[in-house]
Amino acid sequence: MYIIIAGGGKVGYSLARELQGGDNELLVIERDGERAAELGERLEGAALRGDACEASVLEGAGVRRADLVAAVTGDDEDNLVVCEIARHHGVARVLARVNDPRNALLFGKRGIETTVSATDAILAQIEQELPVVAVVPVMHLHEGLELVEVRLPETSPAVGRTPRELLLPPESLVALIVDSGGVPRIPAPDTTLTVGDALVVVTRAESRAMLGEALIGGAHGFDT
Amino acid sequence: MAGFRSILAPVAPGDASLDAAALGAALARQAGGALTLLYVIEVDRRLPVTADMELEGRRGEELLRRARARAEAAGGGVTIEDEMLQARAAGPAIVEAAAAREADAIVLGVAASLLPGRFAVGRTAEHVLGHAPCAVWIARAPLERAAPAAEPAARP
Repeated sequence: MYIIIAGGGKVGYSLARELQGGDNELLVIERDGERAAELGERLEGAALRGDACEASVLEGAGVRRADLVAAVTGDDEDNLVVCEIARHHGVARVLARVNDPRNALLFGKRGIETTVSATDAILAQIEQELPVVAVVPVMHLHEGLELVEVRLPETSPAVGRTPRELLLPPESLVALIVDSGGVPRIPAPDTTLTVGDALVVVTRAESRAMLGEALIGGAHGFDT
Repeated sequence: MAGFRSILAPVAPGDASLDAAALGAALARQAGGALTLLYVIEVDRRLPVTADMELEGRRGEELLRRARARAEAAGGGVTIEDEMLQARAAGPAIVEAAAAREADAIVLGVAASLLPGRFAVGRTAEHVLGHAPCAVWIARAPLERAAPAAEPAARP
Protein backbone atom coordinates (compact mmCIF):
# COMPACT_ATOMS: atom_id res chain seq x y z
CA MET A 1 0.00 0.00 0.00
CA TYR A 2 1.33 3.44 -0.94
CA ILE A 3 0.58 5.99 1.78
CA ILE A 4 1.27 9.70 1.52
CA ILE A 5 1.31 11.72 4.71
CA ALA A 6 1.01 15.47 4.34
CA GLY A 7 2.63 17.20 7.28
CA GLY A 8 5.79 16.06 9.00
CA GLY A 9 5.16 17.32 12.51
CA LYS A 10 4.92 15.06 15.54
CA VAL A 11 1.68 13.49 14.33
CA GLY A 12 2.94 12.92 10.79
CA TYR A 13 6.24 11.50 11.95
CA SER A 14 4.68 9.17 14.53
CA LEU A 15 2.17 7.97 11.97
CA ALA A 16 4.93 7.34 9.43
CA ARG A 17 7.06 5.48 11.94
CA GLU A 18 4.18 3.19 12.84
CA LEU A 19 3.18 2.53 9.24
CA GLN A 20 6.66 2.09 7.81
CA GLY A 21 7.75 -1.41 7.02
CA GLY A 22 5.98 -4.47 5.77
CA ASP A 23 4.46 -4.01 2.35
CA ASN A 24 3.78 -0.32 2.89
CA GLU A 25 5.48 2.31 0.81
CA LEU A 26 5.41 5.58 2.63
CA LEU A 27 6.16 9.23 1.95
CA VAL A 28 5.94 12.22 4.26
CA ILE A 29 5.64 15.63 2.61
CA GLU A 30 6.94 18.45 4.77
CA ARG A 31 7.09 22.12 3.91
CA ASP A 32 10.01 23.03 6.17
CA GLY A 33 13.34 22.13 4.57
CA GLU A 34 15.23 21.38 7.77
CA ARG A 35 12.43 19.25 9.14
CA ALA A 36 12.10 17.42 5.83
CA ALA A 37 15.82 16.62 5.89
CA GLU A 38 15.54 15.39 9.47
CA LEU A 39 12.58 13.20 8.56
CA GLY A 40 14.51 11.86 5.59
CA GLU A 41 17.23 10.71 7.95
CA ARG A 42 14.80 9.15 10.41
CA LEU A 43 12.54 7.52 7.83
CA GLU A 44 15.14 6.08 5.47
CA GLY A 45 14.61 8.73 2.85
CA ALA A 46 10.81 8.56 2.86
CA ALA A 47 10.41 12.32 3.09
CA LEU A 48 9.90 14.99 0.49
CA ARG A 49 10.35 18.70 0.94
CA GLY A 50 7.41 20.59 -0.45
CA ASP A 51 4.02 22.11 0.13
CA ALA A 52 1.44 19.35 -0.14
CA CYS A 53 -1.22 21.99 -0.84
CA GLU A 54 0.35 22.44 -4.26
CA ALA A 55 -1.01 20.06 -6.86
CA SER A 56 2.40 19.78 -8.54
CA VAL A 57 4.03 18.61 -5.32
CA LEU A 58 1.42 15.93 -4.77
CA GLU A 59 1.68 14.86 -8.39
CA GLY A 60 5.44 14.59 -8.07
CA ALA A 61 4.93 12.50 -4.98
CA GLY A 62 2.90 10.06 -7.04
CA VAL A 63 -0.52 10.87 -5.61
CA ARG A 64 -2.22 9.22 -8.60
CA ARG A 65 -1.04 5.81 -7.45
CA ALA A 66 -1.50 6.43 -3.72
CA ASP A 67 -3.86 4.11 -1.85
CA LEU A 68 -4.25 6.49 1.05
CA VAL A 69 -3.50 10.14 1.70
CA ALA A 70 -3.47 11.34 5.29
CA ALA A 71 -3.47 15.10 5.76
CA VAL A 72 -2.22 15.71 9.28
CA THR A 73 -0.80 19.22 9.31
CA GLY A 74 -1.71 21.57 12.12
CA ASP A 75 -3.82 23.63 9.75
CA ASP A 76 -7.36 22.50 8.93
CA GLU A 77 -7.49 24.56 5.73
CA ASP A 78 -4.31 22.92 4.45
CA ASN A 79 -5.63 19.49 5.33
CA LEU A 80 -8.84 20.20 3.46
CA VAL A 81 -6.93 21.34 0.36
CA VAL A 82 -4.66 18.28 0.44
CA CYS A 83 -7.68 15.97 0.69
CA GLU A 84 -9.45 17.77 -2.15
CA ILE A 85 -6.42 17.44 -4.45
CA ALA A 86 -5.98 13.80 -3.52
CA ARG A 87 -9.61 13.04 -4.25
CA HIS A 88 -9.37 14.93 -7.53
CA HIS A 89 -6.57 12.55 -8.49
CA GLY A 90 -8.70 9.57 -7.67
CA VAL A 91 -7.20 8.53 -4.34
CA ALA A 92 -9.58 5.98 -2.87
CA ARG A 93 -9.09 6.89 0.76
CA VAL A 94 -8.31 10.27 2.25
CA LEU A 95 -8.07 10.97 5.92
CA ALA A 96 -7.82 14.36 7.59
CA ARG A 97 -6.72 15.53 10.97
CA VAL A 98 -9.19 18.12 12.21
CA ASN A 99 -7.62 20.46 14.72
CA ASP A 100 -10.80 22.38 15.46
CA PRO A 101 -13.74 19.97 15.92
CA ARG A 102 -16.08 22.63 14.58
CA ASN A 103 -14.44 22.16 11.17
CA ALA A 104 -15.36 18.47 11.01
CA LEU A 105 -18.73 19.40 9.50
CA LEU A 106 -16.97 21.35 6.76
CA PHE A 107 -14.88 18.32 5.86
CA GLY A 108 -17.99 16.19 5.78
CA LYS A 109 -19.73 18.63 3.44
CA ARG A 110 -16.77 18.41 1.08
CA GLY A 111 -17.12 14.65 1.03
CA ILE A 112 -14.19 13.93 3.32
CA GLU A 113 -15.85 11.58 5.73
CA THR A 114 -12.87 10.22 7.61
CA THR A 115 -11.62 12.82 10.01
CA VAL A 116 -9.72 12.49 13.24
CA SER A 117 -9.93 15.12 15.92
CA ALA A 118 -7.62 14.92 18.90
CA THR A 119 -9.88 17.36 20.72
CA ASP A 120 -12.88 15.12 20.15
CA ALA A 121 -10.94 12.08 21.29
CA ILE A 122 -9.80 13.78 24.49
CA LEU A 123 -13.29 15.08 25.17
CA ALA A 124 -14.65 11.58 24.67
CA GLN A 125 -12.09 10.24 27.10
CA ILE A 126 -13.01 12.89 29.66
CA GLU A 127 -16.67 12.03 29.25
CA GLN A 128 -15.90 8.37 29.78
CA GLU A 129 -13.94 9.13 32.92
CA LEU A 130 -16.41 11.55 34.46
CA PRO A 131 -19.47 10.17 36.30
CA VAL A 132 -21.98 11.92 34.05
CA VAL A 133 -24.65 10.56 31.81
CA ALA A 134 -24.11 11.40 28.20
CA VAL A 135 -23.94 10.21 24.65
CA VAL A 136 -20.20 9.95 24.16
CA PRO A 137 -18.87 9.97 20.60
CA VAL A 138 -16.25 7.28 20.15
CA MET A 139 -15.49 7.30 16.46
CA HIS A 140 -16.59 8.98 13.24
CA LEU A 141 -17.61 6.50 10.57
CA HIS A 142 -18.45 7.01 6.92
CA GLU A 143 -21.47 8.83 5.50
CA GLY A 144 -22.20 10.86 8.62
CA LEU A 145 -22.48 7.84 10.87
CA GLU A 146 -20.66 7.62 14.15
CA LEU A 147 -20.07 5.23 16.97
CA VAL A 148 -21.23 6.47 20.38
CA GLU A 149 -21.29 5.04 23.86
CA VAL A 150 -24.13 5.46 26.33
CA ARG A 151 -24.10 4.14 29.89
CA LEU A 152 -27.63 3.50 31.18
CA PRO A 153 -28.46 5.38 34.39
CA GLU A 154 -31.04 4.26 36.92
CA THR A 155 -33.58 6.60 35.34
CA SER A 156 -33.08 5.19 31.85
CA PRO A 157 -36.31 4.23 30.07
CA ALA A 158 -34.32 1.47 28.36
CA VAL A 159 -33.66 -0.45 31.57
CA GLY A 160 -35.65 -3.69 31.69
CA ARG A 161 -36.23 -3.70 27.92
CA THR A 162 -34.57 -5.57 25.11
CA PRO A 163 -32.70 -3.65 22.38
CA ARG A 164 -35.49 -4.50 19.93
CA GLU A 165 -38.02 -2.72 22.15
CA LEU A 166 -36.10 0.52 22.16
CA LEU A 167 -37.38 3.46 20.15
CA LEU A 168 -34.10 4.46 18.61
CA PRO A 169 -33.67 7.23 16.01
CA PRO A 170 -33.65 6.13 12.36
CA GLU A 171 -30.47 4.43 11.15
CA SER A 172 -29.39 3.68 14.70
CA LEU A 173 -28.30 0.28 15.91
CA VAL A 174 -27.06 -1.15 19.19
CA ALA A 175 -23.85 -2.88 18.17
CA LEU A 176 -22.48 -3.98 21.52
CA ILE A 177 -23.43 -4.08 25.16
CA VAL A 178 -20.78 -3.95 27.87
CA ASP A 179 -22.21 -4.79 31.26
CA SER A 180 -21.19 -3.09 34.51
CA GLY A 181 -18.63 -5.83 35.06
CA GLY A 182 -16.93 -4.97 31.79
CA VAL A 183 -18.12 -8.06 29.92
CA PRO A 184 -19.01 -7.35 26.27
CA ARG A 185 -22.05 -9.01 24.67
CA ILE A 186 -23.53 -8.97 21.20
CA PRO A 187 -27.20 -7.93 21.60
CA ALA A 188 -29.56 -10.90 21.32
CA PRO A 189 -33.38 -10.83 21.04
CA ASP A 190 -33.71 -11.80 24.69
CA THR A 191 -31.02 -9.52 26.09
CA THR A 192 -32.48 -7.39 28.85
CA LEU A 193 -30.77 -4.08 29.49
CA THR A 194 -29.79 -3.26 33.06
CA VAL A 195 -28.53 -0.24 34.95
CA GLY A 196 -24.85 0.37 34.28
CA ASP A 197 -24.81 -1.30 30.87
CA ALA A 198 -22.74 0.62 28.36
CA LEU A 199 -24.33 0.52 24.92
CA VAL A 200 -22.15 1.04 21.89
CA VAL A 201 -24.47 2.42 19.24
CA VAL A 202 -24.07 3.25 15.57
CA THR A 203 -26.07 6.36 14.82
CA ARG A 204 -26.08 9.57 12.87
CA ALA A 205 -24.36 12.59 14.38
CA GLU A 206 -27.55 14.64 14.19
CA SER A 207 -29.45 11.97 16.12
CA ARG A 208 -27.45 12.16 19.33
CA ALA A 209 -30.08 14.15 21.20
CA MET A 210 -32.85 11.73 20.19
CA LEU A 211 -30.67 8.81 21.14
CA GLY A 212 -30.00 10.42 24.51
CA GLU A 213 -33.74 10.74 25.12
CA ALA A 214 -34.31 7.09 24.24
CA LEU A 215 -31.50 5.71 26.36
CA ILE A 216 -30.97 8.24 29.14
CA GLY A 217 -34.36 9.79 29.40
CA GLY A 218 -33.69 13.46 28.80
CA ALA A 219 -32.32 15.81 26.18
CA HIS A 220 -28.77 14.84 26.96
CA GLY A 221 -26.12 15.04 24.37
CA PHE A 222 -22.65 15.99 23.62
CA ASP A 223 -22.82 19.03 21.45
CA THR A 224 -19.71 19.47 19.37
CA MET B 1 45.21 -0.56 1.57
CA ALA B 2 45.69 -4.26 2.14
CA GLY B 3 42.33 -4.33 3.87
CA PHE B 4 40.29 -3.22 0.86
CA ARG B 5 39.36 -6.65 -0.42
CA SER B 6 35.77 -5.87 -1.30
CA ILE B 7 35.24 -2.64 -3.15
CA LEU B 8 32.07 -1.07 -4.45
CA ALA B 9 32.22 1.45 -7.28
CA PRO B 10 28.93 3.13 -8.16
CA VAL B 11 28.57 3.90 -11.83
CA ALA B 12 26.99 7.04 -13.24
CA PRO B 13 27.22 8.99 -16.48
CA GLY B 14 30.50 10.87 -16.85
CA ASP B 15 34.22 10.19 -16.85
CA ALA B 16 34.52 10.56 -13.10
CA SER B 17 32.81 7.28 -12.41
CA LEU B 18 34.96 5.55 -15.03
CA ASP B 19 38.00 6.85 -13.16
CA ALA B 20 36.46 5.55 -9.95
CA ALA B 21 35.96 2.12 -11.50
CA ALA B 22 39.60 2.06 -12.56
CA LEU B 23 40.75 3.18 -9.12
CA GLY B 24 38.53 0.59 -7.47
CA ALA B 25 39.97 -2.16 -9.67
CA ALA B 26 43.52 -1.07 -8.88
CA LEU B 27 42.79 -1.10 -5.15
CA ALA B 28 41.17 -4.51 -5.40
CA ARG B 29 44.14 -5.88 -7.34
CA GLN B 30 46.58 -4.70 -4.65
CA ALA B 31 44.58 -6.44 -1.95
CA GLY B 32 43.73 -9.49 -4.02
CA GLY B 33 40.10 -8.63 -3.66
CA ALA B 34 37.08 -8.07 -5.87
CA LEU B 35 35.30 -5.10 -7.35
CA THR B 36 31.56 -4.62 -7.72
CA LEU B 37 30.26 -2.05 -10.17
CA LEU B 38 26.83 -0.77 -9.19
CA TYR B 39 24.36 1.19 -11.27
CA VAL B 40 21.29 2.55 -9.51
CA ILE B 41 18.20 3.50 -11.47
CA GLU B 42 16.45 6.27 -9.57
CA VAL B 43 12.71 5.72 -9.99
CA ASP B 44 10.43 8.73 -9.86
CA ARG B 45 7.81 8.54 -7.11
CA ARG B 46 5.08 8.72 -9.70
CA LEU B 47 5.98 5.12 -10.49
CA PRO B 48 6.32 2.09 -8.24
CA VAL B 49 9.93 1.42 -7.40
CA THR B 50 9.62 -1.91 -9.19
CA ALA B 51 8.34 -0.32 -12.42
CA ASP B 52 9.72 -1.55 -15.73
CA MET B 53 12.49 0.93 -16.57
CA GLU B 54 13.59 -0.49 -19.88
CA LEU B 55 15.29 2.57 -21.31
CA GLU B 56 17.09 3.35 -18.06
CA GLY B 57 18.06 -0.29 -17.83
CA ARG B 58 19.66 -0.22 -21.27
CA ARG B 59 21.50 2.94 -20.38
CA GLY B 60 22.71 1.33 -17.16
CA GLU B 61 23.95 -1.73 -19.03
CA GLU B 62 25.95 0.47 -21.38
CA LEU B 63 27.45 2.46 -18.51
CA LEU B 64 28.33 -0.75 -16.67
CA ARG B 65 29.93 -2.12 -19.84
CA ARG B 66 32.13 0.96 -20.18
CA ALA B 67 33.02 0.94 -16.50
CA ARG B 68 33.91 -2.75 -16.67
CA ALA B 69 36.21 -2.10 -19.63
CA ARG B 70 38.05 0.61 -17.69
CA ALA B 71 38.20 -1.54 -14.58
CA GLU B 72 39.53 -4.57 -16.45
CA ALA B 73 42.23 -2.44 -18.03
CA ALA B 74 43.31 -1.20 -14.61
CA GLY B 75 42.62 -4.31 -12.59
CA GLY B 76 44.78 -6.90 -14.29
CA GLY B 77 42.63 -9.95 -13.73
CA VAL B 78 40.80 -8.80 -10.65
CA THR B 79 37.33 -10.28 -10.15
CA ILE B 80 34.70 -7.82 -11.32
CA GLU B 81 30.98 -8.13 -10.82
CA ASP B 82 28.27 -5.73 -11.82
CA GLU B 83 24.84 -5.08 -10.47
CA MET B 84 21.94 -2.88 -11.37
CA LEU B 85 19.09 -2.04 -9.02
CA GLN B 86 16.16 0.33 -8.74
CA ALA B 87 15.63 2.69 -5.83
CA ARG B 88 14.11 6.05 -5.00
CA ALA B 89 17.51 7.62 -4.42
CA ALA B 90 20.99 6.43 -5.32
CA GLY B 91 22.67 7.46 -2.05
CA PRO B 92 20.75 5.19 0.33
CA ALA B 93 20.83 2.37 -2.24
CA ILE B 94 24.63 2.56 -2.49
CA VAL B 95 25.02 2.56 1.28
CA GLU B 96 22.65 -0.38 1.59
CA ALA B 97 24.48 -2.32 -1.12
CA ALA B 98 27.82 -1.65 0.58
CA ALA B 99 26.45 -2.91 3.89
CA ALA B 100 24.88 -5.99 2.29
CA ARG B 101 28.14 -6.88 0.56
CA GLU B 102 30.22 -5.98 3.62
CA ALA B 103 32.30 -3.78 1.36
CA ASP B 104 35.57 -2.46 2.76
CA ALA B 105 35.39 0.66 0.64
CA ILE B 106 33.22 2.62 -1.75
CA VAL B 107 34.99 4.44 -4.55
CA LEU B 108 32.83 7.25 -5.80
CA GLY B 109 33.55 9.41 -8.80
CA VAL B 110 32.45 13.02 -8.58
CA ALA B 111 32.60 15.72 -11.22
CA ALA B 112 34.82 18.72 -10.70
CA SER B 113 33.07 21.87 -9.61
CA LEU B 114 32.20 24.36 -12.32
CA LEU B 115 33.40 27.11 -10.03
CA PRO B 116 37.21 27.03 -9.73
CA GLY B 117 38.40 26.98 -6.14
CA ARG B 118 35.18 25.55 -4.83
CA PHE B 119 34.21 21.99 -4.19
CA ALA B 120 30.70 20.81 -3.66
CA VAL B 121 29.38 17.28 -3.88
CA GLY B 122 25.91 16.31 -4.97
CA ARG B 123 23.23 14.71 -2.80
CA THR B 124 24.34 11.17 -3.62
CA ALA B 125 27.96 11.69 -2.61
CA GLU B 126 26.85 13.68 0.44
CA HIS B 127 24.63 10.83 1.58
CA VAL B 128 27.29 8.20 0.99
CA LEU B 129 29.91 10.24 2.85
CA GLY B 130 27.53 10.71 5.72
CA HIS B 131 26.16 7.19 6.02
CA ALA B 132 28.49 4.58 4.53
CA PRO B 133 29.59 1.99 7.08
CA CYS B 134 32.93 1.53 5.29
CA ALA B 135 35.71 3.72 3.94
CA VAL B 136 34.76 6.09 1.14
CA TRP B 137 37.18 7.16 -1.54
CA ILE B 138 36.27 10.14 -3.67
CA ALA B 139 37.70 10.22 -7.17
CA ARG B 140 37.30 13.72 -8.51
CA ALA B 141 37.71 14.32 -12.24
CA PRO B 142 40.61 16.57 -13.20
CA LEU B 143 39.69 20.21 -13.46
CA GLU B 144 40.59 20.46 -17.12
CA ARG B 145 37.93 17.89 -17.83
CA ALA B 146 35.21 19.98 -16.25
CA ALA B 147 32.99 22.18 -18.38
CA PRO B 148 34.21 25.77 -18.84
CA ALA B 149 33.45 27.88 -15.82
CA ALA B 150 30.44 30.07 -16.23
CA GLU B 151 30.45 33.66 -15.08
CA PRO B 152 29.56 33.62 -11.41
CA ALA B 153 26.01 34.70 -10.90
CA ALA B 154 25.53 38.03 -9.23
CA ARG B 155 24.64 37.74 -5.59
CA PRO B 156 21.11 38.78 -4.84
